[in-house]
Amino acid sequence: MLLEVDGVSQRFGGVLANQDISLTIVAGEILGLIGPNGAGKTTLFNAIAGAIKPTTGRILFEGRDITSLGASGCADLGIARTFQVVRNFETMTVLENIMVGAFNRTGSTAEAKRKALEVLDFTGMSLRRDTPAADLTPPEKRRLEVARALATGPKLLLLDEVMTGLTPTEAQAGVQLVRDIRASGVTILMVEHVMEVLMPLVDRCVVLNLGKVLVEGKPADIVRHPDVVTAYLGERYRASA
Amino acid sequence: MATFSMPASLPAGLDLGERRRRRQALSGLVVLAILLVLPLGIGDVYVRNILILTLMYTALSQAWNILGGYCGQISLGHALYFGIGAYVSTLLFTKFGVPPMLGMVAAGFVAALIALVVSWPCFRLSGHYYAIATIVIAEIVYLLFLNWDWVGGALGINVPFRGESWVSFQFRTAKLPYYYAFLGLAAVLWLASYWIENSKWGFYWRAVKDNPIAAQSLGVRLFRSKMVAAAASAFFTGIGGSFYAQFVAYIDPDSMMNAQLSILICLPAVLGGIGTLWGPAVGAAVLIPLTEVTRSYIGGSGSGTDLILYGVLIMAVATLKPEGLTGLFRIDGRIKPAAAPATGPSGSTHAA
Repeated sequence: MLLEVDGVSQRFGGVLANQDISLTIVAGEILGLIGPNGAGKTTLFNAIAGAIKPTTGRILFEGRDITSLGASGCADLGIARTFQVVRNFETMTVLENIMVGAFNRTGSTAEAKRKALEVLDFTGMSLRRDTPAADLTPPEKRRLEVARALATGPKLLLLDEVMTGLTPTEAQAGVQLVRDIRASGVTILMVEHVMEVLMPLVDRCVVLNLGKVLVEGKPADIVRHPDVVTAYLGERYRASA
Repeated sequence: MATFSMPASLPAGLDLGERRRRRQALSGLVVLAILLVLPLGIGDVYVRNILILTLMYTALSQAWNILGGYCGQISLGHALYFGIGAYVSTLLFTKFGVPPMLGMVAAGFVAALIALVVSWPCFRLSGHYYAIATIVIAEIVYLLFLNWDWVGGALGINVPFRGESWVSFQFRTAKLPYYYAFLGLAAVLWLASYWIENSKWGFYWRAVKDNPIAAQSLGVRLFRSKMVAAAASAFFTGIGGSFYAQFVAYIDPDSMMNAQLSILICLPAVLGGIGTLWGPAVGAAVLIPLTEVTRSYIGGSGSGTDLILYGVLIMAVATLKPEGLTGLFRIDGRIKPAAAPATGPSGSTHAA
């Protein structure tokens, strides 16, 4: 068991964004986290990444309580993330962006650069090495976020809607990258809106709705599950489904 | 064709950072060589004085640039650290007989310590609020020193002359030793900045400046990074303060801690190029001679023409070249023009 979410609730004022959520991530798998808008996906994602502290409940990473460790502490333990709205270091080049991540495991600039070049090659961004992050195309910006996260040497990679806004060809390249990352031994949690992209990729899927876990299971079962169809399409379509 | 088909071959040769660092090292050597012989050809005391002030503000602005430029935390109260530095070495000298050469090291450490104490609450603020807090704290300390008799109050302290030597860092009439002392300080800060740009701290500070939340997600401690930048910046500013105290041999709160000094410390970096290696030096080389010359030629009229000229210059740079004067020469090559997007590989690399 790599990660364990145990009865996590998150309250923002009067809104209960997450309500008693429990789930586990097994080492080596790709777990999908889906749900309609406002289901509480990003809130849960942020709690696992240490960016916010849940109101109640605990999160364990490799058996260790990380609930109030904070984002940088989680990064040190081996949890890396991307952002739904891209957050790159705009004035720095692609290589420099990735080096910031690599510095998490070393104090040496030469070593950080060696690691960054390795990741640059792995993610297929070598030709963009010297381009400032601000000048990248949107799919490249997303890819840079993944590269930067990988450079921290994570055990668990959290991907927040990395396929959103990509053309089918670009998404296909993205799917291949995610497969390569898993093959390199990194466990992946993906939050995704685009079901068609997610379903063939993930081993297991957790569906959130209205802040609670709706169902959990294999992708093939999930898409046929009546509750999921209702959550996504509404009550009216259930009869005809 | 997919956007990311293949990890194609790397562009040949050095990467952008390595090329930039080579250019910087080369330009640093050339500038240093020129500055080493420059005063020998200039006998005029007035001109030498301007050169010394230019080097001093280069050093101070480089120190400011560590926190304000690389780390992006705009301090408008650096006169505080400058003044603390001047007072620590001078008080150690006049009250305890500690030679200023040792005193300035103590001055640096005291200034760094004060910076840590001041920054502790201030870094819970960000952006404009942080800048305002630094102004207010510097002003409070200025008023404290103005009313504190043990440190000379408003009358200040005369630094007694104990004979010409490098240990006491005093020279009766010669300006040249001070010139080389300030050149040394500016060179040390240039080297420190050159090292910082390629170090873990430099990368972390720029990351904190560009996008703090992303930096945090990669394991960067925001608070700790800012504190280290503040301490390093104040350390060198404090040493600059004790250099200046020895140079003018008289200190009082008005000349060592006033708010205008804080502005003068950050302006060269802002004007020359904030967060760049050569920005502070280029900014000081333009700003300080201009300030001094306009003050002596047209400042006497009392019409404030020198200040108007000064204001116009800053407005012109802010509107025309917001990234600073180094943007004109692109000495640093840090900011790439958006008009030149990287093209794909040349046809030959497609062979594989």
